[in-house]
Amino acid sequence: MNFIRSHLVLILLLVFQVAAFAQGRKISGTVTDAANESLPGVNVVVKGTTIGTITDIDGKYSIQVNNTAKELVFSFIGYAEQAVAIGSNTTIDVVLKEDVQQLNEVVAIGYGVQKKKLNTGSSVNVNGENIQKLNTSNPIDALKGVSAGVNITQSNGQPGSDAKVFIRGVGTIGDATPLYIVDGVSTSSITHLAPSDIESIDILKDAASAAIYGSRAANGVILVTTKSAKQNKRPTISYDFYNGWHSVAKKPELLNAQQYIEIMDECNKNYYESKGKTVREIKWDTQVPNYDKIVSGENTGTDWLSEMIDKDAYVQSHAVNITGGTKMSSYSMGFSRLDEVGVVGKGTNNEYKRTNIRLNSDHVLWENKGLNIVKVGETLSFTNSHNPTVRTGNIYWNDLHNVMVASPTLPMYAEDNSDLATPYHYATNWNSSEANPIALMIYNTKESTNSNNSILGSFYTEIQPISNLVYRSQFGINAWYGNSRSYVPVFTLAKETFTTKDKVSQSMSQGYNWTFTNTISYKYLLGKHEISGLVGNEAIRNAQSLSLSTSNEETIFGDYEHAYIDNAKTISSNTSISGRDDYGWAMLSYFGRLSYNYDEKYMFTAVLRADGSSKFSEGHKWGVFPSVSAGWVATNENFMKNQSVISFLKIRGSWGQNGNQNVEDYQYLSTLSYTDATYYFGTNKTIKTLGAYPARVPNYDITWETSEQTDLGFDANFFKSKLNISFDWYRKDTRDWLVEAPALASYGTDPAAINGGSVRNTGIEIVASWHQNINDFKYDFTASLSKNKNYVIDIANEEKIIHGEANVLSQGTSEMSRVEPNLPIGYFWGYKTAGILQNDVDVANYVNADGVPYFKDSRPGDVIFVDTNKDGKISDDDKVMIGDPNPDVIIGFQLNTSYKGAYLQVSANGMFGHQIAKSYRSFVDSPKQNYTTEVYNRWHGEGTSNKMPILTTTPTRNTINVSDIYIEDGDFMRISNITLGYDFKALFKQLPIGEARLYVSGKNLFTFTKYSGMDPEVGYGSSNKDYDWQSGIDLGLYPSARTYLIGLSITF
Amino acid sequence: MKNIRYISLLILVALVTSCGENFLEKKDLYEVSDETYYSNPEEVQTALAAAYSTLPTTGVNDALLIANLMSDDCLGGGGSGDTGFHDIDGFTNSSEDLYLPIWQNCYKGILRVNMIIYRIDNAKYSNETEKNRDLGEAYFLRGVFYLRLAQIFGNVPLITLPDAVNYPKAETSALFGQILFDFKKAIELMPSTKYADVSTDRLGHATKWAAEGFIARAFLFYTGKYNVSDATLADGTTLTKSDVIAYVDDCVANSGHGLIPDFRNQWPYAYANTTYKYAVDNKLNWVGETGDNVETMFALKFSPYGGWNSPTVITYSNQLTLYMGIRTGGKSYQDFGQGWGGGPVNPQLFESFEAGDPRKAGSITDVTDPNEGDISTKYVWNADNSVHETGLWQKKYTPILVNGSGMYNAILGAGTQTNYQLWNMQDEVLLRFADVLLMGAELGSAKAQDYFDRVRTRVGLATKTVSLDAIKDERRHELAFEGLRYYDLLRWHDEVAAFAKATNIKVQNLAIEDTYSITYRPETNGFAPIPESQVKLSDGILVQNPGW
Repeated sequence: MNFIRSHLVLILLLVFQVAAFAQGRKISGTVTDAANESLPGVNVVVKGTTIGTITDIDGKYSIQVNNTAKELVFSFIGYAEQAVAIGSNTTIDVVLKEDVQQLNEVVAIGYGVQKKKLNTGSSVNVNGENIQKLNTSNPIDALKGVSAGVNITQSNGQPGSDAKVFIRGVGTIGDATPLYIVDGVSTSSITHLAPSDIESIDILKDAASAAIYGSRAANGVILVTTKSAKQNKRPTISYDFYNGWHSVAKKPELLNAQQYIEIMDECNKNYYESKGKTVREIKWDTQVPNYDKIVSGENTGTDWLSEMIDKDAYVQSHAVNITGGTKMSSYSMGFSRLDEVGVVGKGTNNEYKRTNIRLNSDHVLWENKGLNIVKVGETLSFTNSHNPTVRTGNIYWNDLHNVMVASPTLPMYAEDNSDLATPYHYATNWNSSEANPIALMIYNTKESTNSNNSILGSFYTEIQPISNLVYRSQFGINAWYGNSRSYVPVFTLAKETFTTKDKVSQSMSQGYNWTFTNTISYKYLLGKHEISGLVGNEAIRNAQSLSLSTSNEETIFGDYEHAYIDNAKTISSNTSISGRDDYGWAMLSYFGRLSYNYDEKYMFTAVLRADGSSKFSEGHKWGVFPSVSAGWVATNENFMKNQSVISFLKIRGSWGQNGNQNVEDYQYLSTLSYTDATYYFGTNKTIKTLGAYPARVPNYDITWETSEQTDLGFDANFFKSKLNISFDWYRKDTRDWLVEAPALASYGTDPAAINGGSVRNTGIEIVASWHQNINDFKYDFTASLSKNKNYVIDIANEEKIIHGEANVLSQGTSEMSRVEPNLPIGYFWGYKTAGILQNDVDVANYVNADGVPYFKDSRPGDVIFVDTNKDGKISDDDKVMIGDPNPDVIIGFQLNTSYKGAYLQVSANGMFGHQIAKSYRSFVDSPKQNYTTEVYNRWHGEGTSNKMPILTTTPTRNTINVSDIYIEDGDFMRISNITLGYDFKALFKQLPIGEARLYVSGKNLFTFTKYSGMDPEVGYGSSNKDYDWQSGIDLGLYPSARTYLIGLSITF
Repeated sequence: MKNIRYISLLILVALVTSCGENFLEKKDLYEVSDETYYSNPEEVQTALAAAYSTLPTTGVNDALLIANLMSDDCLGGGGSGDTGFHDIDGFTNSSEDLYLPIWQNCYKGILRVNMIIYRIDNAKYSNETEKNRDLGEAYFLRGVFYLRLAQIFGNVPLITLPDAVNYPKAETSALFGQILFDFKKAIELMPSTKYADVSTDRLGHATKWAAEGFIARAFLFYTGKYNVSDATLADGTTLTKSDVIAYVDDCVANSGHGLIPDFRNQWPYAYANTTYKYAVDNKLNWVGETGDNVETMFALKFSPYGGWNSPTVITYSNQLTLYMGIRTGGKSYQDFGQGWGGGPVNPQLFESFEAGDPRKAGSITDVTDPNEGDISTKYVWNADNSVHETGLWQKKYTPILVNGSGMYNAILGAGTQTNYQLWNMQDEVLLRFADVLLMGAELGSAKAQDYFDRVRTRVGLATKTVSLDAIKDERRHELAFEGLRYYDLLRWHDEVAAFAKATNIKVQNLAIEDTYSITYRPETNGFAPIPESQVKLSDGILVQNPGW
């Protein structure tokens, strides 16, 4: 706290400083737009100085200028900047023209803003209005397809779930998520923010742009600015509402009871035939209930998926925003509420509920002649959310997967279950360990609730003692608290799936981080030279992070309403209690930025940031991250003036380094761990003796992971800015990965986390847009394309492999994702196949170079595994890359058209060049799991299939060996949003409103793909954090929703 | 204006200096530094517990399960997708790290005891006997870990200091020199307290007597398998056969261990003596695990806190019982709970028991035998895609149901697991007094005949003249499924002959009558492959075993 105190003194000192200013004369006037509407908030600046003011609510201004002042410059976002000679005028009225080039837009660059046309880095700026118009429930989804170079894929379709976001390819197998900064405060995710609260999102892609965030910026930075207060503005009130209806976009077709029995019979038959035995038929009448009705066709069995789909799934959102202010005080506040029911999980708590409240304000405490000497302000946003509780995870923890694989021959409800006290059907003889998946979901998840709260807030003071020198101090907090409670009743569903005692669990967590940032910026103008600089420091500390959870059995009341820990009869030996406080993580940084431009023609920026982190040991704590960038606006050169094709051309380049410190704490300490080392001596099996053991091989030298990036690009406008093109080429090398690379097991403990690995991402990004107004018909079309190639350069251990998780597609399968030099991160590792053995001739020919059969027991219908290393046998050594989950190309399109009040928006996005590994059933250990109708593509006689092998009851090498039969191309193009609306303001100009839009919208309407699964957008890779780098694995987890919605947006 | 410049400068200075360096220090509140640990007896106790906790290995890598599957007494079994069972049984290796868990666990345990041996002098003990006892346990455990590695993998890297060093495989003589040295140290350090005088809350800890049993086991294996007569220990001294005989004689005479009157009362099925027909008819009465079992000399302990520490790894419950239990496929038998059906019993073993040997039905459930009660009328073949099914199931380690739920559930009551995968917690016996007697007889103790007779008369069989052949038979029948048979075959060099017999065994594969031959590959010398990932990670220093 010393830190804060010392700064407060300085702030107070500054407040009592008075600056003196030269005298001059007063000029006043009104600024209007082409339609003669007054424009409030326009910047009016004396050229070559920072003396300025802004227009008031009526568009009026007055400014004191001294005698040397020559010109006044009027600027306002969305309008062309205009300079007017002062001469001897005392009144200057100005009409600003709308600027289609939009080059005066400012973009956030970290601890400040910069005119877009002067920016030498590579970043994407997305306007909050455009985010809101897409009506996504979280802001990340709205960035899909509009931000070249950003790969966003949903992890699953459940409302409220996080998406995977990678900027310019996957840079590490550790934590590759970008750094999120909301109003200057870092946070781990922005899913919980309301789109209506966002003013803009800036994505800093190249190293030079991100370098000011030094550390933690290795994976790019996403800067979110919430709607800020507006000076001199009448209160603007907007209300946005939409109501949407969800349905499952694509439902997998599962077999019904008849088809299922047919396929199981076929498996059975094939098995006996393979052994050369007479087929022993399955006696279905003794195995499944109501077999006669299945035979007669009266009963087609249970359609488990339909039982789970919530036909009443909807989404509803209300958002109110109020912005306004006087010259001295301004505010922006918002309230929004989202209710979204997931498309699956009927009968459970499958609803995502979120309430956001935001209050931002700015106050000028001391103004002197147009100079805001002391200004303070705050941002505060509060979120309360309730997440749905349907289980989504790997094949062992997923209600959807359970439903997809359940036999259709198991009825949903029991005819008589009086002895089991459950309305659900007990497991059948056919599969006596198969528990009713719907009942399982309801018993395990229905009776549960949770509440998550987060507060993101900051307070700042800005002191400008003299013109152009700004000292800014900001203290921000990111705090969270939450709790959950659940209850599992007594139930019996199968022999091994039952509870004998009801169970209650409660948990809570809370914590906060604070960020204290101090910067001084100064701008100096000398003729055509403009120099601006910024120095600052920042301290970040995770000040508290604690969680407590407990569960108990046998409640007194035996129901959910009374399910609290206190209401349990005894403390059972299954009671689990855990609590810890992981506070103390800290970072300290110093940074500076120097920008120079000459006549807005030549630009140069250098950034240096030094970060110290508590994650590393003495001597390895500090990382220094430099960057430089430069730009040249060719169109400002004389030789470019005499042509009309290119209206603007900026060529830019940058180089820089960024860091990443995301690694578990204390990797440099040699410590003891108590995890999973308990032993039970003595006669009482419940008395634990805690075990302590060396936790890891310590690595004293562990330090920052670094990404180094070079970016070359240009921004160009053609044909009077009708056509804009931006181009970037980049090469990003991420070195010294923070990884726990496998080490010899004979060391006897977990391997050290090392700086050991590097990857290169190279790519290009092109964004082209066309704007045109033909009388009242306006349209603009933007297309973006990004291409990225990812390959690992090195893994710093002897084996040179990072192994993936086993048991992913099915229990009993080996690892299928790997990280290895010269191949993309997380590539699919498995056997190549060359079709199916069609007949005995094929079988006879399936031999190695010596004529020895690869397998003694091959038969028609078996998969032909390729002996890639030609060693004469099929073994692990033949496994190669059979797919790459990283897309090569990401494409986005947006079309905006309007005619008078009517408007139409279409957005589309797509990914190409990647593969998906798919299986909707655990084929090795559970042969009785249901199939989708894709099973009909199986081999069942010569010429019937050359990809899917013959079916059999038992898993064979055909299926156990992970091979390319599970791999498919994932290319897709999706029309993600079509909105058609009308602004009634165009019809009723006299209405006292700014805008009254009524619209209908369809989301996720069409997907063009050859991929056979539910959804080609597969973000899932693993639910284990250690395997975060895995991706593109489709286990049929949570279907994505198609949504039709109707909305209303009114601005007063 | 001047003022402002000064103040700006001040701000700059403040920015650069205001944070103390200790701002970046973070204290670890959940882990203790190993520099200061091992400083008192309590901490050594926790370190020992952590070492003991690595003895049970989950999945198909339980040490007894591996040995049973590799032997000629058990087939592969389980379901058709259980490649782990089939690979171990069939000397194949379809996944390159099949044996990684046991390799890993042994070396984890070795590091943990190496730390104790290295650091124990820093610990302040008020009682030297206690310190020696704790140190003795550490030596004992290191011996057990290396003996496991040596029996499963042959030659392995020998690490005796807490260092992370990439060593090549040690010479056999060096490896066994260390194992025998460790057991000898354990014998010398640990107190000679008789079993009855050991406090029951120390059950599960190694004792001097266990070390005397293990030194015999290691010596017999080393001298037998490698055809040597003496061993040169790590400290340069020599361990002769007569030294080992002296240890065994000491153990038999002074340990306070003995045989319990009824062989069958050692195993949990004896507890089900109100429902399980065989237990009822024979008036069995389980001896329990709370100290009355004088025969158990060293056993692994389990608890009701079984859980999944990953989707496929279970901790703290007895997985041997789960993996080798009858594959019921969820079907309900009155007395036997669900297991995964690993290692169905070779009918040749079943047939080889002498007439009247109660250990036959006491060790093996024949599902067609009416004396077995409920299961004999309800047994379902091919439950859940069974393979290598012989209708014979070992019953020393099998889940026992009492009142419809797991046996320990019935004994311990509230709070125990209701999940069949987690509810088994019977002691896994690594050393039994009967084994010590038979080893004593085999080593040629002066009391060989007496030792041998004690084992036979306990089960009501007539005495026989002690001979190696007689001992071989006796060991097979007395110690079946206890993880000893396979290593016995190796050290007697009987493995080729034994496996040659274990062919064309009648089995059912998914309800189809079929035959099965237990595979043995002599080119492997009987050893399992070193986990392939370890070979790769060693950068060529660790060489794969022959035959793999």
